[in-house]
Amino acid sequence: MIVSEDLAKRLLAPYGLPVPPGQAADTPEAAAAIAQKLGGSAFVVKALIPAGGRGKAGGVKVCASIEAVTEAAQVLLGHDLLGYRVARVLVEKAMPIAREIYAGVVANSATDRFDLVVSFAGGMEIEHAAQSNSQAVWQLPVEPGDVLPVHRVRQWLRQARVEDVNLGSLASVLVALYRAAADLDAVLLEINPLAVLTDGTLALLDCKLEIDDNGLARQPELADVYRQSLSSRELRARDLGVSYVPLEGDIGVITSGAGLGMCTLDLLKQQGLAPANFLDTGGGISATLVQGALELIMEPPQVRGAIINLYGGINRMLEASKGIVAALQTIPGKRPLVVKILGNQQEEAWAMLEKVPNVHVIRVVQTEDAVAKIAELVG
Amino acid sequence: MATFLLDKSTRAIVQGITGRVGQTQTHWMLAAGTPLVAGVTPGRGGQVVEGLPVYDTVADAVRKEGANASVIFVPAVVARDAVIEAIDSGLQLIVVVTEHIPMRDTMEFKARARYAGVTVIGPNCPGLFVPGIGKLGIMPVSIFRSGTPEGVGVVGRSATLSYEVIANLTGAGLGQTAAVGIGGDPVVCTEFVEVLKLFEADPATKGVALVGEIGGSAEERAAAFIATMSKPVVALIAGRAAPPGRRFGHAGAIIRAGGGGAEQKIMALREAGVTIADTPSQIPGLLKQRLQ
Repeated sequence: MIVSEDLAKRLLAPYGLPVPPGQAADTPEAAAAIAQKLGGSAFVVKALIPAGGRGKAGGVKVCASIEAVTEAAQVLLGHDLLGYRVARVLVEKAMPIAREIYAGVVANSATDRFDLVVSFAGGMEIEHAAQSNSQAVWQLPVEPGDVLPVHRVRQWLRQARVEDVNLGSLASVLVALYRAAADLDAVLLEINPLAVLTDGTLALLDCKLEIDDNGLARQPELADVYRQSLSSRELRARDLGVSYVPLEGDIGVITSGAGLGMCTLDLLKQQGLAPANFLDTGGGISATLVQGALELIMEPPQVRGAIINLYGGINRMLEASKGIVAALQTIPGKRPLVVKILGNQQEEAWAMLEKVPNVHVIRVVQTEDAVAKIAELVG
Repeated sequence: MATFLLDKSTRAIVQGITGRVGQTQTHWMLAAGTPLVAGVTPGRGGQVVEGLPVYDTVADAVRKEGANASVIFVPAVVARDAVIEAIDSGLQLIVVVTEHIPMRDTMEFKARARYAGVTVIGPNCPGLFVPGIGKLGIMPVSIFRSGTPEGVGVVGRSATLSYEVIANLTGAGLGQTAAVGIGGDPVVCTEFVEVLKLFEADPATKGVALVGEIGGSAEERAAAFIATMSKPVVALIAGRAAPPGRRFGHAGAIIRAGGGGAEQKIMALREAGVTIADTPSQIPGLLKQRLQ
């Protein structure tokens, strides 16, 4: 999950990381009140959306008065930016910036290490810096589970030969970022920019935090926020224990297993059909699960038909067919359903389903046959 | 017959044997002839499950039963400790079936396994099956064609898609020497390359079916090794129709900016001499052509 900037900064502050004072608001009035409380006469109002390139797109406004904060919040709130509706803005005290640095902690799945990444090119041009001059981007790989001592980071930073940054403070910030990333099960923690202020101190101006979904089980606060971010269908899928991705097409899909699911989508596309969703039941197939999953994917009215592709192994497939029959009693319309079920009790499951109107049973192992059948039925 | 990973000298335990899944799968592993010697669940020592003695610790199972391998079914929150216990107790082969293990935990036990020289397969994987020996994990035995003196090796990231490929091979009369599911997570402990090395070295294995998918760069690393192999490889890459930025069931199945897309994997594999199948049922025919 991607954590919003205000929550990410609140989670990082206890690590001693220098987060600018600020708070999120969902109305222009609330934004003005926050600015009033922060004091001073220089503020930043930022659209809270989970997308990069926000500054360039006009989502970050520097304001020199409380009135300007109200105005900026009015401009941003309720409007679309980079494909997201802005529901909240973050109001922060503006910081006097001397220069900008990029700092990040990245879980690298190709090397199985955490990379500490720093670029003194900084700011929005990190991608360009990495492409044009690899010397501008410094990477320190850290073994998983390693205690990262500050002295190691300080030594490493010395090779960059940067004069106008206090490398001791920077090393402490980087170590704190690494520890926070580890504790929070982050796969990515990016501070861009990490600002050097005119008095030489550092400040985390922006922050991108992505958490490993498998880590949410031990991050209760984040798990709550994640649930709140889901659509009602995604939430139902999560409660069923299935993996669900809504797509733009009109053919519903249920499969047991992610690879079989992706392959089914590929084969549909090869037939010129567009899937309405991806849904992976996972390992434990029960009547309740299959019923809930089928009701879920048939809900969008544009769905013209569906394909159920289960490899049950030792799961009792009669249960799956009971779930299909139960779901069909609540699903409106006579949309065709192609069912390919293999596994324990497959013959009993086929016999039950072959009696059901609009259900077409595929008795072979080839998913291609099931896809060809649904193509034929929906025309 | 393949004699790698799992062989006649294997004495395997089941960690998490008293759980519902652990117990059921123990039944089917024994039915497949797997040399299982014990189970381990902390606090349940002294019980008997499916005729196997249960111990409190892996060390007890090693001391009393001479255990040297393990298959793990414990819940995700305690999986890291279970794997590390198995490594520290001196086991040589560990299969982690458990899914939803945090990536950080996997990275930690993967590093520990590397230093200890232990083979860990998974996590989030169906394990391995070696016809004539047995299986550690959950692969359904009925789809395999056993008893052929030589055959095809199968390695895949996805369990059920690999099953469909195996069933297609069996249907076309192609037997299997071994099948290994390496797992669907972004970090897995045994990668395509290690399994391909075993297939290349195994005299009974004549060719390989590789089942890959979007996300990460494991297929690209496999391609670099396949370029040096003497045996033909046919591959299927799932997720060609998947839009970027969304995760498809497997924690690792996501196309990110700058990597993980199906087309670049297919291109890398083709350049390494791999024949690409567009559908699972094309694989047996393509392999037969390459084996002539």
